[in-house]
Amino acid sequence: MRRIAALLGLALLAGCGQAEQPYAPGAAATAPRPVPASSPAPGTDPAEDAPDGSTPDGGTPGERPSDGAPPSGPQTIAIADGLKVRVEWPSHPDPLLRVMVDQYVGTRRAIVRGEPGYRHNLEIDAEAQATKWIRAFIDDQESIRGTGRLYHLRVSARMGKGAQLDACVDESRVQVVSAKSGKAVSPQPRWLRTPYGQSLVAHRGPDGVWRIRTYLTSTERCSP
Amino acid sequence: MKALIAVSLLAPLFLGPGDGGAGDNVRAEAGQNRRTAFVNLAGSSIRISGDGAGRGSGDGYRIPRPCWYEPGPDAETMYRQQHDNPENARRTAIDEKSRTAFEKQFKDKLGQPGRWWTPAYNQADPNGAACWGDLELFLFVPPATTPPGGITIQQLAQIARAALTAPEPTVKLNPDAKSYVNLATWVWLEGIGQPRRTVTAEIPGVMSVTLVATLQNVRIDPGTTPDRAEVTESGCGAAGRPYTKGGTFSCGVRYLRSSIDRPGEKYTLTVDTVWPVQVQDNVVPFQFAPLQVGTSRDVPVGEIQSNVQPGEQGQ
Repeated sequence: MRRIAALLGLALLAGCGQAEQPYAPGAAATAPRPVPASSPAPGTDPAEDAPDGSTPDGGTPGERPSDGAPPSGPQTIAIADGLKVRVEWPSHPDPLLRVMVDQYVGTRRAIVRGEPGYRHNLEIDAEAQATKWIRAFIDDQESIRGTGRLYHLRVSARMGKGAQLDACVDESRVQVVSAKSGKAVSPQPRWLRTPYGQSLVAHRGPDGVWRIRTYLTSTERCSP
Repeated sequence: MKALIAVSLLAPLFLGPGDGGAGDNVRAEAGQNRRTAFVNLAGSSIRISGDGAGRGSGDGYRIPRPCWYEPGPDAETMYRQQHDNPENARRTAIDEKSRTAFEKQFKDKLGQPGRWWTPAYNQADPNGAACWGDLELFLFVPPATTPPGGITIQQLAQIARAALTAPEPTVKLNPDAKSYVNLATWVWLEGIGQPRRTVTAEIPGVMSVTLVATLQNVRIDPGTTPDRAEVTESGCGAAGRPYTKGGTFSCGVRYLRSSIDRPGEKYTLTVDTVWPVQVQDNVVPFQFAPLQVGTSRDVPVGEIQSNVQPGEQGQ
């Protein structure tokens, strides 16, 4: 089922420096895939979808994180209505870093859409971790809005079919809101205030697809 | 619920491989200290014991490959663990399709001889998690067979070596607070404890290896170049030589230049204890480099000013 994200075409320009690129998982930096803006089809199975709401063009779903280089520099991704993330890609980013970005976009989108879980390119334990986390929001009838920031992305280690990916997440401009009223809950959780590290282990399966095996506890201190 | 969410996002989705993921909930930690953290096993059934594990310093020895497979349960036991064990209930939180697909691999092996092997790794190694990601989560292996990447006795010995520590002794000097140019500064150690330390790494019922480290000698680094300091180690033995009045100087440093021009107006003297390592009973024909643990302290070195009066000459 092909689905198209609502706002992915709304790529923004960075405030300074390099112009931002539209988000298209797996697309080569030199030829970013145009992402049509369209409303998502209601009632579809979100867990089957790629993080950008569309299925890949041909091939096995999920192959894209490892093919083609992501853009260098900043890129703003419209995750869902009222929620964006600014991704600060490093220079000459490893295509594997798309796995990190995809899961960020996918898990947050699941929260905003009130979906029951997320499993795109996640092995079973990571899927259980992500789903539990998402459901904590859904069960409380809460959502998120604002602009997150994903930075200091890197492949910390890579051995054969395994890799550790790390990034910093700054959600100080994200709010937890009531899913019904859209109003900010009070008080806001403290974790929104301070940037934190995100660390995960990925494994390349026999089909060539990199999937997240597990989320690790990050000990990194991330400065804003 | 807010607290739950907060915890979740502070360490987002933090469950690791040693926490109910693949393999056991077993962790082995040894030898962590302010200098190095060298063995912190995840997903492992390896037990590390002995007076040489922990309570001291290691030397940063790294296991050449920081991940491996370990033998686990037979087909029936593994299926029960994955299907019935409440520990795996968190997987029921996800959709039935994923769970059914996941369990199929265990169901398919029911009735077949062999064991499941699962991956483990050293979390203290910067490449450990990526190495673990290189391995499959579950391998079904015929009886009496070790899969490629399966743990060997050599690797178990390497894990024991990485866990090996020695105490950081106190460096004693005479003169203590400050030394002087051309004055013999005696060096010895206190707080070494037993000069023999052992570490055992074992997979219960499968394999075990014990390493023995024996304190042999000390090495003194005066913290400066040979033109500024002469080191004497001939009489150091295993713990230096405590100062005795009228004794022969045979372990220590004679500084030849003042430290006035050095950062902080001091030299930093380091004493390494050297512990050759043997594999007990030679279960592995393996030669390890000695464990070396160093302790440092500052040594300000002054010059003795002497005035020679004309009238005193020749007296």
